[in-house]
Amino acid sequence: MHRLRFLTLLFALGVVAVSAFAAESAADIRRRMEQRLPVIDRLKTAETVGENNRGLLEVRGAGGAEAGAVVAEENRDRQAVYALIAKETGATADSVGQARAKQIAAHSRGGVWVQDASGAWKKK
Amino acid sequence: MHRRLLLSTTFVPLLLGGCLNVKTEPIEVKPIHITVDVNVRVERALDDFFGDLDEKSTTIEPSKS
Repeated sequence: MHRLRFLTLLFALGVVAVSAFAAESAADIRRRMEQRLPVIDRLKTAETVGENNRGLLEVRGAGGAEAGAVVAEENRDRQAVYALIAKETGATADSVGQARAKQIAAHSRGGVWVQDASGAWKKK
Repeated sequence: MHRRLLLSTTFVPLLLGGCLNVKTEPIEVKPIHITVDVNVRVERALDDFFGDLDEKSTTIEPSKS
């Protein structure tokens, strides 16, 4: 009986610990994305990077080493967010990324490169 | 006698066939409803996470919802 209680308590503590870790990592990701946002905006305005139809950034043409590194970091964080949302909602990470791509394409300001669902790139 | 037999062999299968279709419709509606529900939850979760970031971005217009 005591053993059962102990195991239940252990399980509950595990759930709490996992939830706290997930919440912390989502907040960490958001903080990193916010710090990176001015650079991403600059690269998008300069037409060095575009938004693809999977909700990720892509370097267009000769982007240089800086763009490649920033895009890789941003995409890693975006994929982590899509995976978290997929787990929360019962969707797949790919479908979450595609839904985000649609939001970005619909709300991007003029001059930003976006890829439509068929794979074609166009400047908004 | 033959006529009655002919009528019953013609109409009884038709009547039974008509009864077989009744319970198929609700099965198709449910998955569509679930898909819509998941899409709505995904949209809401994306807005929750990215809403503030989009407002700070100079390349994305924040959504009006």
